[in-house]
Amino acid sequence: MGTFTRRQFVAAAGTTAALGLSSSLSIAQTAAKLRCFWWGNPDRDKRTKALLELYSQKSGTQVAAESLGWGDYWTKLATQVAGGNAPDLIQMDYRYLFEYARRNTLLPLDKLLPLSDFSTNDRNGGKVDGKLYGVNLGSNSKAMVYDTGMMAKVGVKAMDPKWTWSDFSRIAGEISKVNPGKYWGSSDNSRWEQGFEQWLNQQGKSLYNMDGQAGFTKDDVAAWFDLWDKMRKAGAIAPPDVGAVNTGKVEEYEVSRGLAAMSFVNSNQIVAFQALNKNSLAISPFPRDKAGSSGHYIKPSQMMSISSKSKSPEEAAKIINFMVTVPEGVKILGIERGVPCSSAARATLTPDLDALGKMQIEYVASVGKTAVPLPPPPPKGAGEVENLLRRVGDAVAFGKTSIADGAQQFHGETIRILARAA
Amino acid sequence: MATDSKATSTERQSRSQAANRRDMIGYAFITPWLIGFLCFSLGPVLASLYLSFTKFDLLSPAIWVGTDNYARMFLDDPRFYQALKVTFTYMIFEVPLKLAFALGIAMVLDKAIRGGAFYRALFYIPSLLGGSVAIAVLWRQLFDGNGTVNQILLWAFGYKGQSWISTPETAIYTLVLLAVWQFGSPMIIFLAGLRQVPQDLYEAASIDGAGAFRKFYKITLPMLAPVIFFNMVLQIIEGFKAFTPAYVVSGGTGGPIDATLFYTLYLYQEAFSYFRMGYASAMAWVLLIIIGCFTGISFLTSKYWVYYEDDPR
Repeated sequence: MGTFTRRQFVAAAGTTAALGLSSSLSIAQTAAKLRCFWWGNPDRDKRTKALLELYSQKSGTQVAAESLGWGDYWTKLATQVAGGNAPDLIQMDYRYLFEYARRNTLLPLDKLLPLSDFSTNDRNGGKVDGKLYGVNLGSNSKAMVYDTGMMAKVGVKAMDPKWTWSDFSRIAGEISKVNPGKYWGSSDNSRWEQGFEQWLNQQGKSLYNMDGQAGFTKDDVAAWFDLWDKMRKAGAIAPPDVGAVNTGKVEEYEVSRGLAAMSFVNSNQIVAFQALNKNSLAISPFPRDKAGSSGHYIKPSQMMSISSKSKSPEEAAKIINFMVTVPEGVKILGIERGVPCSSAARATLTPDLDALGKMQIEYVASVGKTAVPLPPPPPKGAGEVENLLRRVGDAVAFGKTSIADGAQQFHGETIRILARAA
Repeated sequence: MATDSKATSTERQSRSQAANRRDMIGYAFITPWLIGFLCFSLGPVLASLYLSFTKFDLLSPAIWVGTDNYARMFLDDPRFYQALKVTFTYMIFEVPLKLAFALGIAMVLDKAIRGGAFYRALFYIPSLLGGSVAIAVLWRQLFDGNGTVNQILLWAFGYKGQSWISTPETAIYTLVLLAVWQFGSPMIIFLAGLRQVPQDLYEAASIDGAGAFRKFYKITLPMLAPVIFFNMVLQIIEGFKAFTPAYVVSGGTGGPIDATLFYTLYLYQEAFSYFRMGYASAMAWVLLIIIGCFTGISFLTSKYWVYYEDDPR
C-alpha cells in the first residue's frame, strides 16, 4: 500500500532536478569544403543559395550555405568564431567590421581582391586601419517604404523628395482617416534608431562622434520624442501596442502587416518588402526640416569577409569575386543587397532591371548627390543602445514615462552603456 | 547472548550487500547519463563559475575582474531587478494555477469515465507541444491586436480589445496562460497519486456521512500531499527556467518595455546579444542559488504539511 516513501521521493526529485538543470549543446559538422554564412530574408536566401550552387557546378568546390535572421546571426557568428569554427565566408556589417577586423578574426583582402572597378569610396567603406577587410556587396541608404495605393487615395501622386516633417504628419493624418482605428498613416518611428540617427544628421549632429561617444544631448532626444508624440496624439501614427511587437524583421513592419502606409527602412529592403506585399510599394527619402539637408548618406548595405582561419582563402576570394563582378553571379544576386559597386556589374544588370530595380538604383544615385559623409562606425555597445531606444521609446509611447524623463533616461543610459562596453 | 549478536551482524552484513548490489545496478542504469554529465555538463558548469569572475566577450581572452559582475548585478543593474520581478510575478500565478488545474482535471479523469485513456492523451498533448516555437508563434497570433481572442471578444461582447501580447500590463499573463495550458505532466503524476489513495478511506468517510468537499479536503488532499509537493518543486524549478515562450513571443526582446523580461531571457541577452559572458555566468550562478534556496525552503517547510505513509506519526 506504500504510496511514496520519503527516501524514494527525495531520490526522484533530486534526479529530476539535476536532469532538468543540465543542458546539451550540439555542434554542426559539414562535409563541404567551404562554408558561407549570411543574415537575410527568404528572397536573399534563395538568391544566395542559387549563386553558391552555380559556383559549385562551375568550379567543383562544395560550398555549404547557412543563413539566419539579423539578431540570431551575430549570436551564432560570435559563438562559432570563439569556438574556432568560423565560416570561411562571413557576411559583415559596417557596425561589426571594426570589432572583428581588429581582433584578427578576418583576413586582409587587398592582395586577393583588387576590386579595380570599385570607386574609392566603395572600397574605403570596407577598410579598417588602411586594410581591406570587407567587400561591399551593394550600397544603400535609408529610405521610407510606402504603399503607393494608399498615397494615391489621399491625393499624393508623386512624392516630393524635399518634403518636410509637417508634410509627413499631414499626409499620415489623412491616411489614418481612411480606415479609422484599423489602418494608420505611418508606423511609430520614435523607437527606431533608423529614424533618430537620420533626424540627428538633419540637425547637423550624429548619433556617435569620432571618439565613439554619444553625439546628441538629452534635449535632442526630448525633441525627437516630442515630434512623434504630437503625431501619436493626433492619431496620425499607429498606437504603441501595434508597434511594440515589431522587432525589425521585414514581416513584422506595420506596412507588411497591413496596418500602416509608411515605415522607415533601408533602400535595398524594398525588394524584400515587395516580395511580402500584394500592394505596390515604393521608396522615398525621409522627410526633413524646411531648411537643411535630408541627412541621407550612402553606406555599404552589407559586405563579405573571409575568416582569418579559412583553409582556402583563395577559393573564398573567388566566390566573392563571383558575387560582385562575374556577370552570371551578379545577375543571380540582383540588387537585393543594394546597388552593386562595380560599374561593370551595374552595366550587366541595367538592361534586365524591373521597375523596382530601376527605382532603387535611381534612388541611391539621386540621394547620393546630396549625401552627407559616412558617419564613423558605431562604437561597441551600439547594438545595446539601439535596443534601449526601443524600450524607452515604447515607455514614452505607452505613457509610462514622460518625454523629459524618457529623454534623460535614454541619454544617461547610452553614456553608461558606451562606457561599460569600451 | 554472544551467538545472538553474531547472527544479527551477519544478517545486517548480507542485507547491506544486497543494498550495495541494488545501488550498483542503479548506477549501471544511469551510466550513459552520468558519462554525458561528466563530459558535457560538469566541465562547462565549472568553467562558468570561473567565468563569472571575469570579463569575457567570446572573441578576446577572459580578464579577471574579481566580484565586479556580482557587484554590478546587485548594486547597479535595474534590469536585473526587473527580470527578478517578472520571473516572480510569473511564478506566483503560474505554479498554483497550473497545479490546481492539473489536480482538477486529474480528479475528473480519475472517475472511470468512458474513453478515459483518450482524454488523458488529449490533455497531455499541450505539454508535448507547449515548449515549442510553433506554439509560441500561435500564441502571438491568438493574443495580438487582430488576433483570434479579440475577434471573439468583438463578436460576442462588442468589445474592441488591445493587443494583449504587446500591452505591458497584460503581456506576462498571456505567458502565464500558456504555461498553465501545459498542465499535462503534473496531471499524469496527480492521476497516478490519486490511484494510490486507498478506496476504503472514502468508503468509511461516506458511511460517516462526509460530503464530496469534506472527502476531498480530509482524505484526498492529505493523502496526495507528497505528490503535490513533488509537483510543486518541479514546477518551481521549471518556472525559474522558463525561456522559450518569452523569447519567441517578444522576439527575444523581453518587451514590451521589459514586461516579459524573464530572468533566463535577460541572461541570454547579456550572454548572446551583448556578449558579456562573465556577467551572464554570474547571473546563472545566482539563479542556481535562488532555485536551490526555493527548493530548500520547500523541503524544510514540507514536514509541516506533507504526510508520508512511512512517517512514524
